[in-house]
Amino acid sequence: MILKLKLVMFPLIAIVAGVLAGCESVEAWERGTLAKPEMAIVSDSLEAALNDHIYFSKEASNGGHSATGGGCGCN
Amino acid sequence: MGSPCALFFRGNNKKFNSALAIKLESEIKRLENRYSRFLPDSITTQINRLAGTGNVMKVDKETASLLDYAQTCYKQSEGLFDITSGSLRTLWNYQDLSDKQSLPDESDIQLALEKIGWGKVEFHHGSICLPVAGMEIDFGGIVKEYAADCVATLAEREGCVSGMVELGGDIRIFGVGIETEKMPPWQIGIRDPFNTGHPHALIDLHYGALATSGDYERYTLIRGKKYSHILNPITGWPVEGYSSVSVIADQCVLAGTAASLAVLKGENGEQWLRELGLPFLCIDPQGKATGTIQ
Amino acid sequence: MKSRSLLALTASALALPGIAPIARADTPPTNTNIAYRVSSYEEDKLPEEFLFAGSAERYDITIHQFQLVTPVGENYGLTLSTSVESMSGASPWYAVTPFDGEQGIVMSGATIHEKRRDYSVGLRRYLDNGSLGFNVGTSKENDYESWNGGFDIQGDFNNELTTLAGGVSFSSDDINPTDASLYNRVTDQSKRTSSAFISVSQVINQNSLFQSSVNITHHNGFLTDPYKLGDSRPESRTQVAWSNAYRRFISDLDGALHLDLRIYDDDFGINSLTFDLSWYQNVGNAFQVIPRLRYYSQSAADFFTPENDFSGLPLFNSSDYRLSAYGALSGALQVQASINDMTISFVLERYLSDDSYSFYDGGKSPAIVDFTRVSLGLGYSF
Repeated sequence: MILKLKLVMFPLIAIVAGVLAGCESVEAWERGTLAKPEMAIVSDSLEAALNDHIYFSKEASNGGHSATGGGCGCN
Repeated sequence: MGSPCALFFRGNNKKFNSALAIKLESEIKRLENRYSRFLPDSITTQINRLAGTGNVMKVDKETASLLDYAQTCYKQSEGLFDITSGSLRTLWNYQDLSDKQSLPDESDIQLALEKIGWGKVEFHHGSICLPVAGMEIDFGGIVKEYAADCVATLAEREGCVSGMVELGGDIRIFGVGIETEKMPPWQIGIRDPFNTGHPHALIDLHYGALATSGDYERYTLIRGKKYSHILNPITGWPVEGYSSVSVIADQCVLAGTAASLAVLKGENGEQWLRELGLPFLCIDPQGKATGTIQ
Repeated sequence: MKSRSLLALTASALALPGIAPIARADTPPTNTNIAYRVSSYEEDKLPEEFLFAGSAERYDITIHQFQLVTPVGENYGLTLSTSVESMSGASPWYAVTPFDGEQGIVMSGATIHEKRRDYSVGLRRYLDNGSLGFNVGTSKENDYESWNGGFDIQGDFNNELTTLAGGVSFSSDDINPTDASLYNRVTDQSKRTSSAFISVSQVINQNSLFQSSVNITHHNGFLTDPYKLGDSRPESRTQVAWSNAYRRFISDLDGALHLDLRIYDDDFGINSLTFDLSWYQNVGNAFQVIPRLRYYSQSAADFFTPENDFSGLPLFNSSDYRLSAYGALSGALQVQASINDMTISFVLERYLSDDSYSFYDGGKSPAIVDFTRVSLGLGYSF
């Protein structure tokens, strides 16, 4: 199981490094697209919170993008 | 800027106000020197001179962001707002009101249209190239309103408590004291397009900008029919729509663009303004006014 | 929500040097935003062949969410959230293997009706190059009470193209299972959780950006499920999750691609992979259609057994399906409309789990769930 995880992790690190290396400088007036609501990491915070909560109560994993919030009795 | 300009300040500090007025006037002059197409050294003239030569001109941050703004307007108006459309004016003469002219030939219009179109312009990463000889850009539709906003920003940075700038009919209100000192609003009049003496409406504005676009002042008279000086860059013909559109927004560039776009869209202008969401007032050629401005 | 035209023009106008000479990426919200969402999801019945005793009907849950985000003065933003969750239905109590070898789940007999309420307050202070956030919250059910708090910091670098963020949060929970004496359950238990994260966001070019975060969580205390007979779990658990997000706008299609990948590991022996793919399609000026696909795969916990071991010999034991090896595929469709200052959204999701979807080997449970969810959301900005 740990091996399978490692198989995914190393190519992922390589992709991340490659992506970061290829970054361009984007000037203030060129950032219109990045400011669009559909380009946010979290576009809909209520939907994201709902999904986090539902999947947390049905699956064994939690966390990822920020520190985990409060607890509940659903897991 | 080619239009009348006026500055107003509230407050009794005469020395501060006159010193500020000098700074603000020189800011307006700075922008005129940079972007007027009539001046031989302006950035606009430099860009236009290279049209058709294949040479690319690298521009500074301010010019690049103005070009980007013009591009955003072009996209949001589906090509109706086009800063390359200036050369169409040679076909429609607004100086001569004697009604002795005839309509331009369709073939002349088509020839002129070959030299316009922002879609043809190569603009990216801060460089611009006009590929067709005779193509020209004109910041006239943006820089006057931008100057009003620059004046506002500069005045606030200098600590002006409350003031107003009027550039060719467009108004921008500014000041750092407006909320804290509970200043009363400025009273602005929207000009009546048909009776240029009295205002059509009076509006109280605390902060922000009011811009007006329309063809009540300049037009061509051909065989007794008025042709607007605002031209559709896709067809080459003058637009037919509202005599005057006024829009209120936080920034003067935004208000000015919205008003211009509404006039360019002709009959669809009012609907577009409703969807946009900014307060507006439209006056049609019959004098009927509609809009959301209180 | 302003019209898309207005948003595009405003963004471009604000980039003009004469208008916003001090460009700040992190600014307090310009408007006050209220949002409400009501969701209802229903777990599919337990298949008859696996039901040994009890009711096959599973959970039916309704959740109401409210959120208010508002600027406070020049430099602060305030977020108030609350949600109310109503649950009714039965859940697996324990698992047996009857004489014919098939797994059988004994479901809890009585249908429970429960309500959970949570409240949280967050305050954010915006600075020239970043922001600081602080939040507290509480969640209450008739048998579970949780208090949590945390803070985080965000900093912009590299002409605001790179953002580094980090934070910690703590939670203290009290558990008092219902019907404790009737079913010989424990009473008055507690659990403490602490969690920390760091993340990096990077703008790749005009159309794409990337974010990577690592999150470590440690739990201490009563981690067993008191409603499952024979369930016994360790008193500590450490979890690590690594999330990656990629966002890319494709102007020819007027839409944005979202790719998310999370890798998870903990000391219960559970590893998982979560892969999320969605497409944000703009339709006209006022609509968005967002199809979404999610793939999830987890391994089984070290102490998971398909059938409860009541001999008392293994120290830790659980037949809880949530600790079994299984995978889940879910598809969702969201449709959103923005009219003047209002937004309306509608989501439909179908979640299917199956032990064959997982690429992990391990103990399986027939009690893994499928569910259908419907949500309706309203937002208003002023």
